[in-house]
Amino acid sequence: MGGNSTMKKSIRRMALLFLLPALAMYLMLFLYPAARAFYISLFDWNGFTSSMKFVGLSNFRELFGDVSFWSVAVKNSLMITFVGGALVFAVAFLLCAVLSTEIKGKKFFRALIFFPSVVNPIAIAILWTFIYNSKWGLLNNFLGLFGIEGIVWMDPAILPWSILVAMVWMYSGFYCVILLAALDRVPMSYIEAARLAGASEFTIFFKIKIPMIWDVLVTALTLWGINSIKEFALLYAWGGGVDIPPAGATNIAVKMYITAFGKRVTIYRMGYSTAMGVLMFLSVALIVALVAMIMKRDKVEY
Amino acid sequence: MKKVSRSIALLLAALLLVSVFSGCGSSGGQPTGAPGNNTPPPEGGDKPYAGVTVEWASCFNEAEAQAVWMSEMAAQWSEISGAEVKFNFAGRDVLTSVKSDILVGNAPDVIDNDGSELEAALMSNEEILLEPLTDLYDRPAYGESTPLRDNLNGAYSLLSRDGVEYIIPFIYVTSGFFYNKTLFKELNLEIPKTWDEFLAVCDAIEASGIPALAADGNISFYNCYYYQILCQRILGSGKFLEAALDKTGAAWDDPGFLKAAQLVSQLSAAGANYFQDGYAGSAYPAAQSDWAMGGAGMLYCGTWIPLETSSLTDADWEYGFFGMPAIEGGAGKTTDIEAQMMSFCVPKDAKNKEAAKDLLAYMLSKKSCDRMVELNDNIAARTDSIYPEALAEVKPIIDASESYYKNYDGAMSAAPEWWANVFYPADDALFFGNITPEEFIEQIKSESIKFYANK
Repeated sequence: MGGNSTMKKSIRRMALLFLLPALAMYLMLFLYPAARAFYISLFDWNGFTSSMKFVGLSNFRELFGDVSFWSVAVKNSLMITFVGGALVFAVAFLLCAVLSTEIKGKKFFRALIFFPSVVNPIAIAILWTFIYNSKWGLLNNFLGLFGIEGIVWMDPAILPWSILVAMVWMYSGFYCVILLAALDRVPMSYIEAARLAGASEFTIFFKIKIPMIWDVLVTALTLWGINSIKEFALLYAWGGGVDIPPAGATNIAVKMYITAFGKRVTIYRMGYSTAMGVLMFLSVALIVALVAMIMKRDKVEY
Repeated sequence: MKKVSRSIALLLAALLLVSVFSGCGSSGGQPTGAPGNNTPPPEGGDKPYAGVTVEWASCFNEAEAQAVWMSEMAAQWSEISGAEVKFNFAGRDVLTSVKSDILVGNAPDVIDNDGSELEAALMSNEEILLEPLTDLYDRPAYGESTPLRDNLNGAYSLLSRDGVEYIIPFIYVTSGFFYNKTLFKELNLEIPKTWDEFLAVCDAIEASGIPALAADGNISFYNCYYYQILCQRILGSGKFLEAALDKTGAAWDDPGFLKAAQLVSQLSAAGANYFQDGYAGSAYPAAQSDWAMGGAGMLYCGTWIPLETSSLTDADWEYGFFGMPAIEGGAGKTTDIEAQMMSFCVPKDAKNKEAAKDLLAYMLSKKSCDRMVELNDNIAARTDSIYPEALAEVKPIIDASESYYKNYDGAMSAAPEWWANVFYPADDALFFGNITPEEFIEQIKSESIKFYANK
């Protein structure tokens, strides 16, 4: 007994020792910068000079009264997270429903729908600006084949929606593949039993498959919540890389970058931008907590 | 045996840690600052900067013509000076790229970028992070005998602070209407001197079957050229900047601002709609490319346009240029010229300041600037340099200049947040024809008051 306990202690010590490097890296590369960000948000600082002026919570006070931050950046971020999320998961489930059947070339189709998520978002932004070009773009020319007159897809009035379509195209495959992997684990015997009992495919999908992949679905939704708030490259590249992105392509992450580093417009407000970062962090934490709370269910064992 | 393997494992873990942390601390290169590098080169000495590595952070990408020129000139200077020049072609986000280096006192020796951006980032009211370049301005360039400042376009003084120069330009940029001279000849069009003549030119081009003007609406700093230049023509230089900084918003009550908005509106979709269809949703560079391929008559832009579009033009294409016409009764003159300057600077914490300045004295020689023009179709900041053929019509305009004003009247760099959050949304809405001139003034006034009240 005594020998066993000593061995356990020794293993624990070894485990701790091996965990230390990772822990040190985590503290150094994540926790310290995160804590430092909170600290910087209390200063007026352009990010270039060594002098930082302490302003307390002024940056946050200013942020709460910043009309363009709330009416443009926050509005677009919420739209991407909630409307975009609904569309991404609707398409992902639709694709799952098709690909979880016994169709031929299943692996090929999986790879195909996953492909957009591995392409550089900057390339995707360029690709979609070509597709949307109102004069020679793919979309309007395609509509023209059916005698439908195209529209200006990147008009500022509808730009957020057009970008959302590009995002749905980019991300649906990724979430579909995650959900499909989980669906593949659902035992066929349950599904066959349900079919024998006369359940429709719709019922099987929602009453058997979804409950059985609930933990994976929660993880996927949490991932989307985090990634959608942090979405940056696709939107930033939408401005052509030469100017600040148009309002329709500005979310919290883009606004934060522009405020800290400028983009031809020389803003350079690192302290204020970091206050936006703190708010973004809190938003992500809130979304994760909300997803966990709303989706809380007893785990189905099988 | 277990003890031995555990010891080996521990040793390996320790080695791994040491290698990781030593990697973090390493600069990843040879130290560049040899002692005494900040002293001037010895008179008449051969290869006076032998052993020195000048680090250069550039806003250009390696494949761009400007970068090719820089590399070529740096190689030539290296032959003479014995120094090496190490480039970091960081692209337009160069200041983001060097920010942390500057903060930790590891600044590059030379940074190039738009002069206004360098000024805003590195010459803040709190601290000037740049080395004065007065001695560089006062010395002759390589192979010359007159002070460098005597050969530079006078607009450089716009970038000085309290009479001290910290930034030195190498490319001079101004803006105006670009057009195809062949098209103008075919349509018997003359360069318009007044607003009415300009509208007549637009009508004639429209009648020929193409839109008079091209615009990539997703680039707000292109869209706002129209309003800003018209304000300059109507009110004179400096008034727009005053209004941008006015916390009360009262400056916008000047009828000149409304007049300028009315003229923009006249061109927009709310007026004669001289732009190509769907210009509000045109993503750069679609419209300018279409213009270069004959799809539109004119394009208002900076003098970098021939460089960006010359590969798309037909053989008979000939670049023409004219400035925004005078507005009757306006205080601004056509001899007041807008100036944007691509510039060099030397951070005050640079390790090789004297070598960097010597390198710049080489880069700014007439011979070097002529080579730059040959390579990249831009206007050199040196007044005695050759002109690119595509910009030949810009030369007489600049030569006739009586005064210079900063691009966008200096408002973009003096009030950047106001510019991005208040001016851009209002100006885009006016330019796209979504609001009336009166609504524009009301919006910009009320939003300016709100913006400054929140500071």
